[in-house]
Amino acid sequence: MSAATVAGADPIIRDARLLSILRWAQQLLMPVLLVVEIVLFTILSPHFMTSQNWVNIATNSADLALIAAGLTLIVIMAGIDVSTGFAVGLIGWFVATGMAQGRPPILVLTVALVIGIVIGLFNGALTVGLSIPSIVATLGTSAIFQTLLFALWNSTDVFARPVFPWLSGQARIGALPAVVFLVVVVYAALHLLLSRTTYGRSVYAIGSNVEAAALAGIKIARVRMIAYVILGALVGLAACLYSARIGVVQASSGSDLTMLAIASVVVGGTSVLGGEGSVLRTLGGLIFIAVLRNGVVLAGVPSLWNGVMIGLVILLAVSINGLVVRISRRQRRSL
Amino acid sequence: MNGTLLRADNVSKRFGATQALAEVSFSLAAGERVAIMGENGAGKSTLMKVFAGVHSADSGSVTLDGTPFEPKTPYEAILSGISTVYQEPAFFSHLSVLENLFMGRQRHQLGWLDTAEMRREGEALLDRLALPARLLRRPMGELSLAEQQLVLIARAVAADVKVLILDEPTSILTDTESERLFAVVDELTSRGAGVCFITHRFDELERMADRFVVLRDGRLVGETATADRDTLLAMMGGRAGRTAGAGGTSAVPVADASDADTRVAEASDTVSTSTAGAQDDEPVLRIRSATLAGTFEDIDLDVPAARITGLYGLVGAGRTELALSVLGELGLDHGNIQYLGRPYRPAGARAALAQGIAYLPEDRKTQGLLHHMTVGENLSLAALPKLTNLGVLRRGLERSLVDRWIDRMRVKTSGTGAAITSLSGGNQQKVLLARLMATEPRLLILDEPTRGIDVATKAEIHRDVRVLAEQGIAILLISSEMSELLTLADTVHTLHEGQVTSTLRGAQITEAAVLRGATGTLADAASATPTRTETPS
Repeated sequence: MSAATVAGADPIIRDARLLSILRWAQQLLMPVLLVVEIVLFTILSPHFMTSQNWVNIATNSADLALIAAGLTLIVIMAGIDVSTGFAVGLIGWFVATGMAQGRPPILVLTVALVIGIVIGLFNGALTVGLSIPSIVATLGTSAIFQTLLFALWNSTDVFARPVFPWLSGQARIGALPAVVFLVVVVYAALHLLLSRTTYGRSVYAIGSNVEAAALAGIKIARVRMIAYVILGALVGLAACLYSARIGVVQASSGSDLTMLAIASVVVGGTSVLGGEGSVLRTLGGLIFIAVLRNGVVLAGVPSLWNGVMIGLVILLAVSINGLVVRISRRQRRSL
Repeated sequence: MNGTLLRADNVSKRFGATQALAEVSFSLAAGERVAIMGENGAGKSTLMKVFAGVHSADSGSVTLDGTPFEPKTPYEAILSGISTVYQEPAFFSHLSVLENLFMGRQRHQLGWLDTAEMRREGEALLDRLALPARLLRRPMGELSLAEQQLVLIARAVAADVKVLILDEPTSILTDTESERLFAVVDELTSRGAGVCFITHRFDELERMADRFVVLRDGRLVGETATADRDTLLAMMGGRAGRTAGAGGTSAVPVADASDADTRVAEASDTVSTSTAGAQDDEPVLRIRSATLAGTFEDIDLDVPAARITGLYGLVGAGRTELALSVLGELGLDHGNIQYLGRPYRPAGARAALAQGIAYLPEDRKTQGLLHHMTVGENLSLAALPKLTNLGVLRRGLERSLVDRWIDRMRVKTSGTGAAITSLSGGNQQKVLLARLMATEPRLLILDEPTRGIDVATKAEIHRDVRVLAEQGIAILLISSEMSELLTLADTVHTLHEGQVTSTLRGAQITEAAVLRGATGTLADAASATPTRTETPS
């Protein structure tokens, strides 16, 4: 009897140890990879470790940073949004066209935010109201946005200029690009929202156990809807930055952002299964991806391989996450 | 009868703190029908699942046909000739009956399905249970519960079965359907197969089995060849000695009642004058003729303040469903509910909580815990609206609330920031109880509050629940654990197949009386207990 108990307890202890190691790996993965890639690129390219290059990295990823921040809320609640890229392209077309027609910048900015919010409400209504799995719903809306952009574009590239000077990559506050401050403000605000408000607590509760959250009186639908609206507004803002950065809106504008935004969130360590994560982790993941994109080019690797590297890093992050879930599930069962 | 078919020697199985089986020895001869009996949690299903390859025993041995038998998967057990029909069966609801019947053992030629052959065999199988052949094409999910059950039995019989295990097979079958099942069982046993039943239905025992084996708290406590109710009930309960003591302390003398109620009225100044005045006779929750088709029927129930009202019933009796209907998470076909003397319309868990009705769900893991979060975050979850200023969490307030409740409930934790998963099951449950208490409810519905919790923590939770009742909270305690109700409840209502079969107070709450009510065998106990009439099903 007692022998059996001891034998039964052994794998549980082993699992607990393995689990804590994996949790560490999950936390440390991103910082370690970041250090490794920075060292690697510094060795490979003399242009990498220069202040001008860091400014480039920052201005080139500010739009992505805004999207990834909003997406983090959705992912913590075990949802996803794969329509952000084409939403940026679509809104970017309106922004570029509005500026080309000489509309007041404040109007253009407002329109961008409003379209973003409408898109968020639309995605939210499909996933929350109609209970369509978020990946399916946003895959559908993504196709719609893509087609709309294609129809609006109508074989005519629209040249874009910044909505406001401070919304462009050129503006500086001190030595830093102004957009860096914008990103910092957004991340700080969302971090406070998640860590210091009832809303934020509800987000984690829903991601952790939606049934328990409902029984504890949390308004599930409202919380999820608000997250889509926040993401939508950030997508609208990101579209203003994006169109100014790229300088021209085409049929495929924004399409690369979807993948990169998801990658930033996941590589940062926010669990795709919900319940844990933070925008600070996303910021870490974002810096990693931004540096990778930049460094690969500087090191002279054909940009073809860019996608492969990002893909491998995502798989690595997600598989550690999967292992954690499997072992913690096994451990929970044995309790 | 011929030799032993299936044999278990000193089988033990432990789940965390719960000893589900303790050195159980059991044997089944060829051609024999054995009924396995016992309260909920006595270990019946666990023993059957060891045979079926769902669980593996921690120690002890099992032999089948004289050779050691240690199935690692249910599939292996089926291949060895042990077929099981579970109480809550798993099937493929989108696939047809035919596909369900032959899942995993399709007839085929080089990978091509031999549908014609399966159809022929399928028709013959359904015919044995007198089911029409046209069912074969229907999707499984469209069938009635009874039909699904019969199809699964047909599926189990289809295999080259040596041992058939049926977990409460007749609970949803009509008498004629049950009779058909027994005919099939007779046919199987005459060919030398063995059959194990798990059942709570006393009225069918004689028709069902040749031998009755009783388990209690994971131990085999007796067996008999005669289906004598009183003997069996005595074996299933078996706490005669302890019952007297526990019953004595739990049965609050009626004289104390008004005293307790006055204390409540003083303590709760939030109650409006109209209800406070009427408190002595006005229960906090009054349910009248509540009915939800197919689940419970015509239920009358009062839950008074400062008392613990117990609700006992076997699995499937409709206890949890009744609680969920009060919350509004499940519907209510008709009936009316009064809460604090006013008509009350269930509108979901959130609305209920806002009005002071808190529900502790049955399944701590899937319905209660936020696994990724800390002890403090788990505790304050339901009280968050009280802890905010324009949506911003007042962390000082939150911390003091959490500290206060951790202290009051004596939660053993390394701190409020510890992960909830680092706590023992009992302490997790205390946190969930504190979560509800932090919302200052008037009515607390506890659904199996101590399931799977170690004995020491269980006693602490019992003490906490009693303290809460003394503070004036009305408590509805749903439990399938007899000793819990005997020690805690002031009143016990027994549910059987969706109906209240008896209402026991004070000294009337004895193990035998509760079991009689819950198993629907009131006829011979009616003189001892005041009962509501039991309507024939």
